[in-house]
Amino acid sequence: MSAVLKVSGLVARLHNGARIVDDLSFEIRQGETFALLGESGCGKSMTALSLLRLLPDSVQVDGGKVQLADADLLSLPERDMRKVRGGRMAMIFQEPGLSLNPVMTVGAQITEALALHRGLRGAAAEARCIELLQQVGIPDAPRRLHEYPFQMSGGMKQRVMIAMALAGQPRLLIADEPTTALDVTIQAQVLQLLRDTQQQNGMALLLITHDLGVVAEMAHQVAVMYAGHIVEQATREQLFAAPAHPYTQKLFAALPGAQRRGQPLAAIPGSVPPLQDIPRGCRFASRCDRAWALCHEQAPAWTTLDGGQGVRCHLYATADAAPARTSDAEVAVQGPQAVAPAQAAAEALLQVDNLQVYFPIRKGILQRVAGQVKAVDGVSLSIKPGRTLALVGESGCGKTTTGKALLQLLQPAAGSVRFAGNELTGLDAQALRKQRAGMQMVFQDPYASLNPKMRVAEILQEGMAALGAASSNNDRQQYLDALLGQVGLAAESKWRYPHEFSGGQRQRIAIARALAVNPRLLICDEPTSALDVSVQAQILNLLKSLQQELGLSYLFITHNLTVVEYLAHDVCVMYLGRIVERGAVAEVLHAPRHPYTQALLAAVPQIDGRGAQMVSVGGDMPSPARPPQGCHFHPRCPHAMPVCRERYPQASASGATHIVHCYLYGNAAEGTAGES
Amino acid sequence: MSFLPVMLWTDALVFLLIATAIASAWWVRRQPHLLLPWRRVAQSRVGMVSLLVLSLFVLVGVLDSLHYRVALPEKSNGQTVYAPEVLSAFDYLADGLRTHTEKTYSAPLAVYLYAKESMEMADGKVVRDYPRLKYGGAQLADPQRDWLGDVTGRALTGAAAGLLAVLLLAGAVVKVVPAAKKSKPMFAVLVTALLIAAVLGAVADLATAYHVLGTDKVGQDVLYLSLKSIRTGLVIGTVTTLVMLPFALLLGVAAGYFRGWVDDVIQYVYTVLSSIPSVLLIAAAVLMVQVVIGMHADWFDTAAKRADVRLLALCLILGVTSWTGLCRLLRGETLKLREMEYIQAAQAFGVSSFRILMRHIVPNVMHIVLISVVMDFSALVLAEAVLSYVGVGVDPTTNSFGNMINSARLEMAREPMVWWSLASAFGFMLLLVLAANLFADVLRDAFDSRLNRTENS
Repeated sequence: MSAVLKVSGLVARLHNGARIVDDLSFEIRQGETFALLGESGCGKSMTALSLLRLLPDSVQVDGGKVQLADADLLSLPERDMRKVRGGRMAMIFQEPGLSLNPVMTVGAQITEALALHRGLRGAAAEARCIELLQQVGIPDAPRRLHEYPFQMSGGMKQRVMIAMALAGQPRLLIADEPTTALDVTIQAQVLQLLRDTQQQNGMALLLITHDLGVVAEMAHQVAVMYAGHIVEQATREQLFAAPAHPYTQKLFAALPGAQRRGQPLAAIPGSVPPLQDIPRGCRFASRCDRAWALCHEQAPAWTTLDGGQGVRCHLYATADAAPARTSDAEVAVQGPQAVAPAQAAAEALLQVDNLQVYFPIRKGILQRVAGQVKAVDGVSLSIKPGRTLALVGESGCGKTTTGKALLQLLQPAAGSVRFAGNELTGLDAQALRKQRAGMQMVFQDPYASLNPKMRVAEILQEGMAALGAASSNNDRQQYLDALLGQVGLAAESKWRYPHEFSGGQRQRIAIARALAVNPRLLICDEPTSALDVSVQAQILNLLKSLQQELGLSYLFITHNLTVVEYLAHDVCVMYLGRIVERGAVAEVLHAPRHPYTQALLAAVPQIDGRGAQMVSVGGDMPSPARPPQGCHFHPRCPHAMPVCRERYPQASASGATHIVHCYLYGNAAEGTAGES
Repeated sequence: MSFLPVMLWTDALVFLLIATAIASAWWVRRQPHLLLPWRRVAQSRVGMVSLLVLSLFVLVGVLDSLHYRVALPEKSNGQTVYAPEVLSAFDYLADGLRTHTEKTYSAPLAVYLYAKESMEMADGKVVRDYPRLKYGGAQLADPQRDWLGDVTGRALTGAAAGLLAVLLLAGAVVKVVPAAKKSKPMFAVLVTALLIAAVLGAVADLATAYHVLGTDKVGQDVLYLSLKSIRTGLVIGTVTTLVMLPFALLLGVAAGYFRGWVDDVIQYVYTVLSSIPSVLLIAAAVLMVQVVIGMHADWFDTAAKRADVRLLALCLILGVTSWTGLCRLLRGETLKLREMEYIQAAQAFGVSSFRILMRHIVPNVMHIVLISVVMDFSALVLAEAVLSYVGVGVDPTTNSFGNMINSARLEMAREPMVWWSLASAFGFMLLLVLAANLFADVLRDAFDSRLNRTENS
């Protein structure tokens, strides 16, 4: 097969001279998926934009060659380049909500591309439009054609984007993190769609992603990028069987999962070097535990190993270093540690019964309440001291709302929250303040959770001051130093501002802020989803060691099942405001009973790649304002029975701790009338 | 003591503003994250040049705010008596300009009056001709022959003196702060400073012997009037902001943070307020103030105080009507901020709402406040001109651009036309507002966090 795209020696740099894409060379053949894998800030997106010549003003291409079929893209005049964009080469972006024009119908937007690149107008264009929409699996395409983006869900919008990209019949499709903003079940649908289209059209696909799981499912060839360089390039099989570069090895080792339970993850210390000051030698040297003097002085050259696997590392350049290749296990850890002992007998620290949070829907001039969004609809859970409960679900299922309602940041409509024996609902602000120290929250986005105008010391002291933990200034400073040490930051960092820290360090500060008031329970709301894999491992390790040291309990809110497998003791799976299945981690994740849990697990891309059969569910999550009658999941459920449409299933237990709400199992058939 | 310091109401507010500005500058110096955007301003050529021009205006305004009354030579019952006229430090410096009044109109740099008069010649004949000015070019023996040479000579020597002064100053600055040499906008600032110094030097030298911008109907020097008007413009532009800021900041932030009925009430207030035609509201209020002042003439011992109270009243009224825009802006920003996770973290600690507003919300909207205050400044200076033109602005005895324009209405209709009054009001106002607008632009670029920057990302 011939190469569709051939890039050699591509360099892009900032005006100050920093080379943010440095000497990139690769080839993509027809019908092939080429994955560019890397953490944030490593130059993946800049590579894609320089291929399309759409770089921002501050960046310019500075040498190299980009050959698309027979055209040299970097020397084409802008007029011809416009025909290439969307014509022979198309791109889909990360955020489907932002890449469609909200004031144009989807039909009009696709027709625009058709008119430009295929010269189709009028009825012919509309017919082709419908064809494209059907091809990307949008049901009822003729009607959808005249809808606006806001009438569609995220997954639908991404499908429309793909249809738009396909309109010009591109030979190369660039997909920049196409599923990062989507839920796992939707991600599985979109990835499947990309694979199917590729098979039909035989186009080449350049897939840019940070997710090893997606790479394992999609790619034929993989290039691993780090700080502007490709550090390793191989076929998927080679890469997943034997990653060569220390960075790649560490990436694999940093992935959480069941098999690493009970041992710390192999976190990569530090973070990606900022683009402005890229080190002189090997760019990974400062974080590499196998670096020696040479690595800091001289940038390694590209070395091709047998089997075509390429790597940029001194370990392979010199003959004597080559046999020093290590397996995963050696890279991994210092040795397993015991899991926190299960304190099954202890009193529950947090006991939640039938918690309900409703948001009113207001309509009309007088803003009369016309209905309720049942964001959380009868959730019950309990956490024992020193244990971790994971609350799992897709976006919009009410898991974050639950977390906030537990902290009384939102007023629950009904239900009780008992923390350490004290009822929290209905307390006034004064009485509640006394209880606040016991329960704290760690938020999702470390960039939004620290006030940019306050220094770290002020951020940490805020809680202490508010909760009246008055002590002498000297004691307090010592306490702050100890606190920072506990989360692995230097004591001097307390005089700095949040913008001087990387994402992982900020999350450490956020954790220290929560710890400052000696809480017994931390509610962690997706604390690692905004972080890179290598940094995620640092934070997970930190949370785990804090639990062992301080006997903390966690309520871990997440959509990432591999993190749950690694960290949690118990799991609750939430769907549309209700818990559909609960139990110990081993029970729920290894023997899932509810069809939704099964679908969720099946949709997670596995890094062992092979044999992940797709039991994906169709459709999107319904709006919590109008949940379906009966079991909320029945419209998407492959096993739906008539009874599912009528009443919400009762809990049915299988085993001491494993509970599932589904008619497929035992005594649920008795049911109760829909409580909604 | 030969003079009595007089503190007018607006003077007090001007000094309060200056004190606040100095205090905040001192505070900002020690906060690196606050200093960063100012560094960006300091790196901008346009920013520094417009700041230079603005600071000259401010200098004139501040000098003009130091008021005093001169002691009269005679005493009554052993008590010193002071002149009823309130003067300022600026008047003292520009004493020549103030006291050299002609009979009526004269053109810029003219030697003769602009109106014919019957004059008795030495031989007793009465001739109707343009008389010589009392001060303008009085030193010339034969104006026809000497005028051009004298004017160019003075302009050139003045310009040369100005250039020399700036060059010496720049040399001294570089010697004291060697880093200034490397700063990026230094060259642009130097060129502007030289240009301004040349013009100022020429004008200053010419002004000792001529009326550079002519005289008005009652023979007052137009240059002097224009310079005096600067203070009025600055006071209107800044004191109004001082009045408006507490309303806009507190109400906007409170509406955005508390939502619910607080938001409803504040929104209704500012929606209603901004629906009333503001000129109507201002006219009504100014007339009311005028009536009050008229009825209580005994409250004020000098005319200056009376005029000053009216100026202050205008500032208050403009402030009350102009806070709605900023308030709306701040409400929107707060609505966004209150969903930020650090606010929720503070709520989870049980931090009180007031503290959250003061510690978390207000510092994070300050950049908007700063940008909109500087942008409002120029709008207010222009508003003063419009209001005075309509007749509901400052007191007719106060020097202001609006009053100059108002009187120019008749002068433009006169034959031959008197254009210099309007032209100088126009020129000075353009320069002031343009400098303020350019500076606001630079500030917005420096403070707006949404703009992409490579230097600190």
